[in-house]
Amino acid sequence: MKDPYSVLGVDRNATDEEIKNAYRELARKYHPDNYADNPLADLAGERMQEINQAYDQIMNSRRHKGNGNAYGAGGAANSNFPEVRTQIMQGRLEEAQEILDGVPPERRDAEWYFLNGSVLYKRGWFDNAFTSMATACRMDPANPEYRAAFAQLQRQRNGGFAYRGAGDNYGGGCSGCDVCQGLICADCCCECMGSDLIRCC
Amino acid sequence: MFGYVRANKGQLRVCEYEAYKGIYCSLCRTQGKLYGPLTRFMLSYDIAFLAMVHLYVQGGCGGFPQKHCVFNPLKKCHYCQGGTEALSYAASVAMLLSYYKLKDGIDDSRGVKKWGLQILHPYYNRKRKKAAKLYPQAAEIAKQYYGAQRQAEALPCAGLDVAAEPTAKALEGLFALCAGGGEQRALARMGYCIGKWIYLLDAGADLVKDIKTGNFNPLKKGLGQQDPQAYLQAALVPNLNVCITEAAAAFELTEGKDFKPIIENVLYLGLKQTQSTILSKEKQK
Repeated sequence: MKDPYSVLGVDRNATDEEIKNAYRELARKYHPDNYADNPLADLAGERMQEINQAYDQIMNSRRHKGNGNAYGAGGAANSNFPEVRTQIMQGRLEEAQEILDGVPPERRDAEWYFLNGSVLYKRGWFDNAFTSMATACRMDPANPEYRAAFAQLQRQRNGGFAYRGAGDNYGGGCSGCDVCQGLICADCCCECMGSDLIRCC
Repeated sequence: MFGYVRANKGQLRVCEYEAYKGIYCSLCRTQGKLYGPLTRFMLSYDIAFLAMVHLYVQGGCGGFPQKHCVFNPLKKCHYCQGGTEALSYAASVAMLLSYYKLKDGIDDSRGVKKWGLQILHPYYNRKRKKAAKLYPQAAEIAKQYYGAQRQAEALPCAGLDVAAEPTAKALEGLFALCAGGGEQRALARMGYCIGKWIYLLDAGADLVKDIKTGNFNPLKKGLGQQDPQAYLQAALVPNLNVCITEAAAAFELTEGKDFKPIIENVLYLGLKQTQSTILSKEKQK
């Protein structure tokens, strides 16, 4: 197993708080919800598992209780299309699509549209996936599984990234307020030492 | 330089900007060496991005020493030390895609324009064969893409996803070839989403022109009597946004070192900036 500190990207002398913050940041990035209906969900799951193990190992070795996360498995109970769900979970998208296409139009319920949308999304057919998911939500507005998937897709369509908000200032940098704050602090420090940086303050 | 897959230069650090420029100077030099000086005009930001992704996963760039520009000897450029395989691959992909773009142009044009393009065909074909010898898998992907794109656009039900599929699959394959081992799936997904994004953005940029000329455009189907700009914002932009998000999510599952900040800049800032610029130009037409 890799060094747990390098997995979390922290120094060995990092405080517990720094380790928790690093863990939270990575968990936000690789959380299964960010990769729901994504064909790379298994890779993200492996990464998440690695992060969880690293965190548990560090905290246990520091004699703190680990804060492992449990992730619920996807899929609804009492599904009308269990075979389709199995194929999707195993990444067999063509087989799943074949089964879905074979369902006569009169039997295509909300779950059909949801599963069809999931397969289309994994294939990268985002436009058709949106239409299908929207139909699923219209036919069964109370279903939390369909609503969650549709909400995730809506967020992405509005420009939101998995773990950054839309329009995040990726570049960073300081504003005018930061500059003023810094100068005021420096002026106070100077005055404490007996000098004066900014005479009018 | 052409291409949509660009960085937001204003948000790059100076050293990153120098490296970014260094990549396309290096590509320019490699393209000229492998395929002749006239082929340098085939380069684009998209190809530079491909080279950076290749270097990111496989490594090989040992810095950017300064040397005289191959185009303008009075100027000095930063050239990548090492990274030969990535640069050679990207230059060859540029050559292959340019050949099929020429073929497409010959098939779609008439009269004098067609003859003019046909004169170039033997030259491009020679270069294509050389690229195909060096990278047969990439050549096969480019060939399949050309055939599939024409078929997809001939389908009466060609919606956005159907029409974009060949370009998306082509870049899926070309990006996957950059991977040395375990990164292949993530790179394939990233390439798929970027390919789809490029095709759809191009369709959005050409919508008004294609309405006038009668050329195929997958956006024409749902336009009706709506104002094109409003329609693009409602129907196209959300799909472009999902492509970007998915490409970024796939990239987060790769591991590498070189050019990571620049690639992140492209994915998280550059693509949106280009999208907004291109589609607002549409407003001005």
